Parts: sequence; C-alpha cells; structure tokens
Amino acid sequence: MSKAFQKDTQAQKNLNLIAKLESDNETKVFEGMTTLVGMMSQGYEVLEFFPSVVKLVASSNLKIKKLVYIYLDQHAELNPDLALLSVSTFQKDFQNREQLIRALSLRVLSSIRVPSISQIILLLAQQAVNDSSPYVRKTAALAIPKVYGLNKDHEENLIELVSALLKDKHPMVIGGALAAFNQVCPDKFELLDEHFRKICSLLVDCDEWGQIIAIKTLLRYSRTQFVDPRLFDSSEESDHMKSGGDETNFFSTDSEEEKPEEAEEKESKKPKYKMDPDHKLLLSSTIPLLKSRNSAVVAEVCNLHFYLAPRSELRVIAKALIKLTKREAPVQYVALSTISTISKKFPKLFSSNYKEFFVLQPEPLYIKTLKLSILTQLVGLANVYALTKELRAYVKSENIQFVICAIQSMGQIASHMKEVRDTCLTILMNLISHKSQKVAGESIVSIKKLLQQNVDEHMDVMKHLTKMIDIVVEPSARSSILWLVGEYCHKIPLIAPDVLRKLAKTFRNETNIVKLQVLNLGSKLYLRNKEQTEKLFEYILTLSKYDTNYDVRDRARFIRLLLVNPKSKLDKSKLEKIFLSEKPLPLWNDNDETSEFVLGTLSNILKIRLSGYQELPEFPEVAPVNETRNNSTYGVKKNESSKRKSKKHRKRQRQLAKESPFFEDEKFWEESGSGSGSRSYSGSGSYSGSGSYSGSGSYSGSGSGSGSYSGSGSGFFSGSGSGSGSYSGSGSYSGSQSGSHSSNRKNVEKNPKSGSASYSGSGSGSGSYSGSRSGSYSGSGSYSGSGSYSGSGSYSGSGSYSGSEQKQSNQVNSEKENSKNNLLDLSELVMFGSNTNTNTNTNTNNNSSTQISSLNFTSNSNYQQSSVKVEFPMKTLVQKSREGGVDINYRISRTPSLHPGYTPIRLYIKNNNRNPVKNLNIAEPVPDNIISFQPISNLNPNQSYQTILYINFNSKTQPISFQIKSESELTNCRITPTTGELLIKPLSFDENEFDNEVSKLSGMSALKQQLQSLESLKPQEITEKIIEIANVYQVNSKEEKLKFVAKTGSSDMVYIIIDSNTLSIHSSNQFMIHLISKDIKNALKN
Amino acid sequence: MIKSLFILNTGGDIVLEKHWQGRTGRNIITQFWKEITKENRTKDLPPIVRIRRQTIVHLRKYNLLYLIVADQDTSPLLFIEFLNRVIEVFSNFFSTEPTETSLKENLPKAFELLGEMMDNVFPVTTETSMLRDMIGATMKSTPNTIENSKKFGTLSSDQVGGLPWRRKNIKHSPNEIFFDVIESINATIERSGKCLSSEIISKIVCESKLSGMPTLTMVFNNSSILEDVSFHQCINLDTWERRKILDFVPPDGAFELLSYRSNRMQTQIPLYTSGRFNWSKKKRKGKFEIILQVRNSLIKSIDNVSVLIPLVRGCSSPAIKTSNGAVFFNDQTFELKWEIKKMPKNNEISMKGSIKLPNKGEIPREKPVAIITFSIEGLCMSGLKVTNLNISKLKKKIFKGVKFISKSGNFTLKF
Repeated sequence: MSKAFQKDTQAQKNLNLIAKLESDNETKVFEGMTTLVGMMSQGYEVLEFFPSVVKLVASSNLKIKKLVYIYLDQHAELNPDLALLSVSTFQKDFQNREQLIRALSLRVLSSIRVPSISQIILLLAQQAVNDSSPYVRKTAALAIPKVYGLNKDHEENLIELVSALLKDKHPMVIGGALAAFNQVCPDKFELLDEHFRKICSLLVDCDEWGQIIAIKTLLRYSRTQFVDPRLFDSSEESDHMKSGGDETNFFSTDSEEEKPEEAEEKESKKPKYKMDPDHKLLLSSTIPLLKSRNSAVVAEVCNLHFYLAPRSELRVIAKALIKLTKREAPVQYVALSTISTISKKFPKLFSSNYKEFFVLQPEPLYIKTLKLSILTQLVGLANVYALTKELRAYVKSENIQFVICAIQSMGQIASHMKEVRDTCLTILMNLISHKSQKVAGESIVSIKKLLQQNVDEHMDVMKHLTKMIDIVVEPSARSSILWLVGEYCHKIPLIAPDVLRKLAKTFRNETNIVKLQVLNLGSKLYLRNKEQTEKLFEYILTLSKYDTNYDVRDRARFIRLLLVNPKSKLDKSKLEKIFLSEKPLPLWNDNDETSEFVLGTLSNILKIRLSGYQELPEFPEVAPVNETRNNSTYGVKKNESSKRKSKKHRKRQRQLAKESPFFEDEKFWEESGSGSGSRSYSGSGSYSGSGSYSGSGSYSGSGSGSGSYSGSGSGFFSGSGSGSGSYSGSGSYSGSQSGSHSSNRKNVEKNPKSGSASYSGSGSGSGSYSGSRSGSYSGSGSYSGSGSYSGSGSYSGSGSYSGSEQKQSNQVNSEKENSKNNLLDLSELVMFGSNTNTNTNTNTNNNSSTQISSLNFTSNSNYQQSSVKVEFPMKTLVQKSREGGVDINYRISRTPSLHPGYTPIRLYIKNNNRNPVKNLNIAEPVPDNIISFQPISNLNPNQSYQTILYINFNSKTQPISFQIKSESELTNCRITPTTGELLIKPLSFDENEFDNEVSKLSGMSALKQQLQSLESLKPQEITEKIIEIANVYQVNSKEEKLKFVAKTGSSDMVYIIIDSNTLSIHSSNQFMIHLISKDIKNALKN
Repeated sequence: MIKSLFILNTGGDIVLEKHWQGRTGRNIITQFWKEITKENRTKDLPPIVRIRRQTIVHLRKYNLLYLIVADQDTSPLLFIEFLNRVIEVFSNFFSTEPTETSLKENLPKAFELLGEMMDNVFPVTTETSMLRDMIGATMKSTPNTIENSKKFGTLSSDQVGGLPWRRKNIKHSPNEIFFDVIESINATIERSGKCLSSEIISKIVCESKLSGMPTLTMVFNNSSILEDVSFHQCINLDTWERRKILDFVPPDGAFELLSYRSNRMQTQIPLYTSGRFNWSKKKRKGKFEIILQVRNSLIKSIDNVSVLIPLVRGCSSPAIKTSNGAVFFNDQTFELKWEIKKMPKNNEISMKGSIKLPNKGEIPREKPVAIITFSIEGLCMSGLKVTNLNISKLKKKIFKGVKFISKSGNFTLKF
C-alpha cells in the first residue's frame, strides 16, 4: 500500500518536472533541468524525459542548452531516433563565434554513440582541425577515437586527420592528437617521424594528461627507432654496477648473469655505439618532467627511462620513484610496485636506499608486503645485518598476514646469505611456538627449507628442534618436526629413536596429522635402525590398528604389510626406494611472474593481462635510417626560438605559431630530388626481380615500420636481413621508395602546407604495405594452396619467377623457407614484366658491377618495360582487438578465381583474444553470392590465419553483407568492392589487337579528357596508381603511351589509354566508362 | 580507460555516479562494498582491485569513497591523480571540503564539472580557473541571471595559450600574496633517544590575491635544498634549470607551489624523546615511561605537543603520572593520548604509568609505538630561506609575506 503510494508521488513529481521542462518560463525550465541533472547524478532512470529535453536543445539560453547537452551526452544512444533531431542544432552551434561553444557542440555530438551520425561528426571534426582555437582543435582530436569507435570504415579519413593534427604546434593539441593516434593507428609510427623533435621540445608545455600520453607514445616509438643502449654498456661499467659496494646481489636476473659471457662480444661492438641524437633528445627533454607534481607524469618518465636509458643514467629515476613513495598510500602503492619490478632487474639501483623501504607500523598491509618484497631483493653484504634486525622486529607484529610474509623474506635472505643464516634460524625457531598456527607452520616450513639446503652445518638446529617436541603443541609444527627427524634420522642416530619413544608414549593423545607423521618416522627408523626401534614400532602399529581415525588405521595397515609382514616380497633396496627416497631441494617462491608486464600499466600492478594492454616493441638490432626525422628541422628552429623564449617565455605559443613551416627551404627540395634520381635507378632494377622481394622483406624490417610486426614476423625479417651480402638490393629498394616520396614532395612544393600532408600520406602507404607483408609471412602455413597460383603462370611476370630462381642459386645460404615465402609473396603482387626485364634481372643478379649500366638501360627504355609492383591496401573487416577479440582484414585478391564469376577475397584473421576462438565461419544462411571458406575449428591466441572467400559481386559496387560467427560471438561484416576491382585482367594482350579494338569504339563508347594532374606525374607513377585502383593489364606499347586493358563481369572490354595529359577510355559499356574515369581521376589527383 | 566514477558515503550508499562510456551497473559497487567490508579490510584492501572482470581504483578522502571503474589498461597513477584533481576541483568549487553533505548540496554542479574534466576517456580540463570560466556562471540560478544569460563563459587566449591556471582580468584590493613553507619531519626514534632515520618532506603553499597577470620571481638562499622537488605547473622549468630561481605567474587563490624532500637537516630534531615500554607477564600489565625535552638550541617554542600510543584491544585501567599536560584514554579505540599545550624550556617532562591487559589471551609480542605530533612556528629545519621575492607587472602596493612552520610528519618513537 505504502509502496504504491510512493510510486504515485514519484509519478506526480515526474509530471511536475515535465511541466517545468515544457514551461515557457526560462527560469522554470532551468530549474527543471537542474533537478534533472541532479537526478542523473544519483543514477535515477530519467529516460522518460527525453522528448521534453530534446526540444530544449534549440533554446537560445546557453545555460539551459549546456544542461541539455549534459543530458544528451548520457542518454542519446538509448533513444537514437529522437537524438537525431538535435543534430542540426549541434551543427549550427559549431559555427558559433565562441570557441567554448564550438568545442562543446563537437564534444557532445561526438559523444552521442549513434553510428548513423558518424559521418556528420567526421565532417565537423575535419572542419575543427583547422579551427583557429587550439581548444577546439584539441576537442577535434578527442572526437577522432569516438568516430573510430562508431564506425571503422572511416579509418583512412581519420588517419589523415590524425596526421594533420600531429602537425599542430600548440602543446595543448599535441596531447589530444597523440591520444587519437594511440586509439586509431597505434602502430603507424611513420606518422610520428617528422614530429618527433617537435613533440620532444613541446613536452614541457603540454598539460599533464597530454604529457602522459606523449611519453607513452614516444616510448613505444623509440623502441622501434633506436638500438638498445644497454647492449653497449661497457663491461667495466656493468662490472661496476654489479660489484659496486661489493654487495653482490643474489637475486640478479638472468639478463645480468648473461652479461659476462657476452662481454667480449660487446667489447668489440663498444666503439661503434654512439647514441642517436634523437634518442638523447628524448631522454634529456623528459628529465625536467620528473619535477611535475603529477605523480602519473613522474612515473611515466621513470618508465621511459627504465626502458630506454643506458644503465648508468638510471639513478635519476630511482630518486624520483623514492620520492613518490612518500606520497599518500595509493600513489605509494603504485610507486612501490614499480620499484619492485625495476629492482628485480637492477637491484643495485636502490640498494643504497634500502632504509626507505623499512616498514612503518601504521602502514596498510599492501604497502608493507610490497616493501618486504623490495627489501628481500635489495639484500647484500652491506645491509644484511640491518635488514635482519628489521625483520626480527617485523615478525613480532600483531598482523599475522604480515608476519607470514616477513618469515618468508627471512627464509629467502637466510638461504642466500650464509652470514645471517644462524641468526635467522634462531628467530624462526622461536616462532614455532607462536600462538598462530599459520605463523608456526610457516616458520617450520622455512626452517625445513633452510635445513634441507645444508643439513650438516646445522645439526645443532636439528637437535634443538627435537628438543622442541616437548614444548611445541601446535600440531602442524609438531608434525613438521617429526618429518624432519624422520628425514634426517641417520644423522642423529641417537636422538631419533628417543623421539619415537617419546611419541609412542603420547601417541594416543596426538592429533591425526601428528599420528601419521609418527608412523612415517617409525617406518623410516625401522628401515635404518631396525634393532632399536622394532619393538617400539610394533607397539605404535598396534595402537594405530585400533585408532578411531581410519586414515591412521589405513596407513598403519599399509606400512605393516609392506615392512613388517614376513610375506612381503619386496627386498630392502626397493623398500628404501619407497620410504627413503632423496627429496628435491625446496624452491623459494621468488614470486617470479615469468611474464613481466610493462611498467606503468594496470596489468603490471594486478599481474593479469587486461584488455587494452600493449606490449612494448623490442629494440631493433640495427637502428633504421629515418630520413624524415633527420630532415625535420625542428630541433634547430627550437634552439633559435628558445633564445627568444627566455626573454618572453610567456608568449611562447604565439612565437611557435609564427615559426615558418618545416620545408620552406627550396634548396632542400632540390637536393632530395637529385638524390632520389640516382637511387631510383637501382630501385627499378630490383623491382624486376623477385629476388628483390626477399630483399624487400628485409627492407621493411629495416624500414620505418618494423614496430608493426608481430613478434614472429620481425624475427623472420631480422633473420633474413643478416643472411648474406646479396641482400644489398634491399637497401636500394628502400632508396627508390624514398625516392618516389621525395618526388611526390616535389610535385606539391608549390604549396608547402599541403605538400607535407601528401608526403605523410604516401608514407602511410608504405606502412600498410609492410603490414600486409608480415601478415602473409606469419600465415605461411596456409599458403601452400596459393603457391599453386604462381605455378600456374598466371603471373605474366614469368621473368620475375625465373628471377627468383636465380636469386636462389646465387644465394648459397638461402633458406628454403625464405625462398618459399618469396614465391608466395608473388600472389599478392602484380607483376608486369617482359623478356627484356628478365634479362636485366639476370644481369643484376649475376653481376653486381654491371648493375648500374643495366639499370640505366632499363630507365632509358620505355617506362612500361619496368615491372610495377603495387600494394593493395588492406581493409578492415572486423576489428575487435581492443576488446580482445578477432581482427579480420581483407584484401580483394587479384588472383584468378577458382569459381567463375566470383571474386576471391583474401581474409587475414588474427586472434587477439586471450582465449582460443572456435568454429569461426560464415554464419548460416550463407548468401547465394558467397562461397564460404572452410570453417576454422580452432584459432589460438595471437595466431593468425589466412583463407579465401569468394564473392560474386555481380558487377555491382553494392556492398555485400554477411555475418561471421564463432562459438562465442556473431559479427556483422560488409565488403564493398570498388569498380576497378570488379574488372578481370586478361593474361596477355597484343598491342595490335588493342589498337584495332580501340579504333572500333568511338562516339558514345569513348571518352577523352585532359587531365592537368597528369603532367606532374611520371609514367611509372601513373601506372602504379592505375594498377592500384583497377585490376587491369598493361599492354606493352611501342609508343610513348600507357595502355591498359581489362574485361568487365559482363565480358565487355575496357581499354584505357594515357597519352601525355590525355586520358581516353574506350568500352562498349558506357556505364563502366563513367565509373572508371571517375576512379582514375580521383586516383591521379592525389 | 576510465569508464565510470562512483562516490560512496561511509555506509556504502552511492552519492553520485557519472558514466563516460555507457552505463556501468551498480552490481559491481555492491560487490566491491562486500569486499571492502570483509574482515574489516577497509584499510588493507589495495587501492587497485579486480572485481567482476573490471578494474576498480579507489581512494578515500573526507569520509567519501571515490571509485573509478576502468575497462582498458592504462597508467594506474593516471586514475589516482585524476581522482585527486576531482577532489581538488570540488573543494575549490564548493568552497569547502567535499564531504557528503556539501557534495549532496552541489550535485548538479559536481556532475557538470565531471563532464568537463573528462572527454570520452581522456582527462582534459582539470584546472580550477579554466573550469570556472567554462561553467562557473552557469550554476548561479537566480532568476535574474537566467533571463539575461545569452552569453556564457569565455576562455581567454592566455588560458588556452599557455596559462590554463590563471584567468584574465582578476581584480583584488588589497593586493597580497602569502607563502607558507611547511616542513614535516619524518623520523623514527629509538627508545634511547637515538634517531634511526629522519627526513624532511616539505611544501610551499601559497595564497595569492593579485590583480592582472603578475610575474613573480623567487630566489632562495640555498637552492641545493630543493634538489628533489616537484613543481606546480605554473613554474617555468627552463628558468629553474638554468638559474635556480622560481619564475611563475601564480594561479588565483590557494595552491601548492612546490614540494620537496630532503635528508639534510640544519639543526638537530628540536624535540628530544626517549622512553621504554614493557609487557609484564606476571602482572599482565604494560609498564611505560616517556620523556620529552626541548633542545637547548631551539629559540622558538614548541606548541601543541601530543603523544599517542595505540594499545592492544582490551586494555583497561590506566594508572598514569605526568609532570605536565593531560592524559586521556579512549576505551573504544584503546589509545592513550598525552597532550601538552606548551612545552616548558630547559627541563624535561615525563609520563610514567601502567596499563592492564585483558585477563585472557596471550601477552603481545610486539611493543606499541608512540606517535608524536608537534609544530614549531618560525623554524625551518632544512635551512631554506627566501632571499628575494619580486613581483613585476603590478604597479600597486602589494603585501607579501613568507611564513615558516616545522611540524611532525611521521614521527614515531620505538620502544
């Protein structure tokens, strides 16, 4: 009754509130909204007010509007249809003069998690990136991950936005941009190249949260760019580190122990190492941040130095971390965990500060135990006595849990430091009579372990223990003592039988576990010393026979049958094996989590792998040459400006804004242009042979994006990289790549601003290339099927095939697997090669001295002659790695299809989950136009898999939808083909026939257009671009024209001719002409 | 990253909840509350725990429990510092400590603040002054201001530019700025009076009421004392690295300028302490004696000295004699407290007595400790002095001052 009444009043209240919200009086509306927000903050269900609130969004009163925004922010996704009504208001607000309102509207709009508006948010974000207010730009940066979360299709656009934002020189924006980078494309490190120095120097001016993100990102970036400085630590230094203070550390980890063995090797390397100036810059520019009041910033700097700095420079962070331990308990907790992890690796770093880790009585348990584990790691000759003294005080604590930890530490210390072993044993012995069973048990366990290590030295302890049997009442302690006596009864031949005698007397009153141990002791003595104990043992067995507990009776019967029964067929040696077997030495649980988590993560604290946890990339063996970063002039500029800054540092932002763009220097362009010219020759040479592809494997290893590889991939690369000299081709390959970059840059030099944009765009292209490469490597097992493609000779580049063979023969030490991979790679590359190419290729491979001339030959002949390799962008189908799921990428494969009319789609599946994924397949019902792959029965964590899916697009560019299901989840997928992908490439085509057919198609069946953008492109680049967007065959032409041909799904031929700046397309299918010309124009524009 | 924030009162009821990414069910809070109240773990539950496959970071301040629910991995300290900022901003905006009462009075404001402080999962604006401009005006709900509020907060270019901690057009009269150098002495003293370990943890807090955009420079007599230092954002690190002087535009109002740690003390610890404590097995009693004396070298006076001895559960019937001050025994918490308002100079004072143990149970192995608190005005243990304080860009007359206080931090006597 009363409940119903309450409900009524609540309903009444709600009605009143709605009345207020819909009132004309702004004050009332405001009151209503305030109440509503108050209700939200208490977790009330306020969805029913949605219609009333959404009307208010257009209110001209900003205070009301703001509250409405707060409401929408939280509830829009629950009522997407109504929420869409408000979108136009947001768009209008975004044009407001006031930066706060622009930012607010963008922020709230982007927080509405309704997928259908992702396009709108994207558009606004694109505008906001160029906003005059850094606050708005930052908001735009933060909107990027939200759009990404809503709709992965925008990935490319978003990456563009990220790279535009990274160019920003405002410290406020940098943090946001890097946050977006981390969410959208955390492995596209090449985007950071040119901004690295800028970020380093702006770091101090960023806000604290931005600093955290920036340091995290720079750490990961640097791990891919620089070599491990600790590899080069001079052996003297490492000796110093180890023996400093002579407190040899007994807990040093493997890595340290390996040191001396590698020392010689390092000695030879030593003179070579000089720290990269950028590496140095990063380290030095983060040091001031150790003074931040934000402990998270300090901790991140410490992590960065722990992973990047040479060993000798780690003192700074030790000091900073110790200071953090003086803060309030939660900060102290994290700081101590960090120290614990670091000191495991470098105990020396903290050992002089061991007093800082002494436990104080009022501290909470989690602090105390952490401190104990650190103290245990820091023990050395210099401090062992002080530590033991401390521990002696700790074991007196009233907190049982803490005492147990202290006992364990004491045991560990005593087992490693024989100086204090006796003292510790005494302390532990006193604890046996502790009132708490757990403490007594733990101390006996520790004593047991210590005695087992070296029992002969401690016979006195042993004897003392046997005396304790009269005093100790605690059953677990008694039984432990009995076990020890039994185990070492031969070493105390006089005492052991006496102990048995005593126990025989009290046997009836003992607890069960003690009785069992008495039986155990008796049987051991019976075997060792039959004369003295036979009678006693017989007595005990008889007592046990009538015991109330059947475990005891059972044991007694078992022992009697084995030992005493005359019918027992076992001889003495076998019995000794059973009863007196050698026990293995006990292990001290060093709490060694074999899988150490990266510092500064929740996973490290909790010792569980959480979702979103990122491994640190491993250092590369050889630092990649990074011209982009080296060419970024920021460092120099910064120095200049810092002089100004010192005068008027408050105006630093405005100054930075005034600074000229990075690549203003005309000379710089020219230089890079000419440089690329010479390189591109050798580059084209290596294109022609697939030998160079094996090289290109190593290229990408040494290239910019090695960080993006999965572990196995990079391992393979580095292996092949060190293979042999014949790989030198790889260098030239990368040279050509950068050559084409720089020529790109040259094209756009008229407009320096957009110039650098397109530059970084092409950079990202190479990134995705290498990414795909690693994919194909890792799944090489599943590739055997695709090997047959290359065998079928569908690769018009027969030259390329033979090229690879020659490569193989040249390469004495070439691994089989390696070459196999080369072949397999072909399935992902489009090869255009003629016989002349094969020739040049042979030359290149056989005789490197003729390389240059033959390459010159290549470049002098028609452009079409050189083979063109194009990477097809990999697209994302499913990305769930953030939640720890399965990632599926796909690429429309241009291999001939096994199923006529169907387009093969190559799927790259990777399981990022922690659990295996089972029965991955296309969900039933499989659409008619799809031929599914074989179900994947099991995909282990981090395992990759490739398979092929066939889809009949029916010559339409409409998206094909289907679902992929696994045992645990169901995901919607969509594949949209581009026009170019729907074409089918003929295996060969004669030029005469081409000209013939083209001449027939005119009028409506032909299209001719002048393209301005063509002038600036080299024919080579045009070819690349066209092949990238469309599956066409390039006809060998004698003229200075580019000719391409392909077939549509409905068997109409499409002919494309590019002659200087004219594009002409001929086909009987006019619709196709229209579509293709649009695509080509788009492609060539960029 | 941060998914939700819950604020609980001492009874485990949710006072406020804010969700940034979808809604987190309240079940997890119930579960957490079970966990933290289990076996009285309130103190011993680590600040970062895993519950129901979610990570919870929690901390307690002013009798409120702040809980962050996170689903993605990131820096643990980021959560903790974010909570610290939330508490700081709350207390600035409520103009009082954020207790349960003051939070409940300001719920809509608190909710709006939380919305501004974090975007999606990323902390953004956590500076009070900037937040004031963003929402300060919105919440004044008098009808007059409502009707005419077609405008709301603006961000000055300086705030966006490089000084997010200071607003434009601040006016004060009179103009004044005061600094308090507060040094806390952490020390562990043996029963003989020997000092086992000691250090100074100090901070300089500032109360600034200055108009406009003044630039301050502060010079110290001995900057090496500030070797291990953390600065407020407003301090220019460049100038400090190069010239070892502080150069800053202060935020408005009260703030912590810097904090430092030092092991070096210029003088002896000004308060001499010694004592003993023994559990007597036969009499089932604890006997103790504590002696305090002001060091001769100290010119200033020591005020508000207190000695706190937490005892074992069940202790009773203290019999105590003291030369000065008053003794209290709390039979709920079993704490013995000796308070001395004013320490006499030149002669030692003592407390002597005994306490009964409960009739049953073990004799404790562990001796209690004595936690000593005191404060001394006008003394600076590290010897830090401000030799010069310059304020530029301000023509008017300015009152400025620096005050030194030394006090006990973690100051314990081990028997």
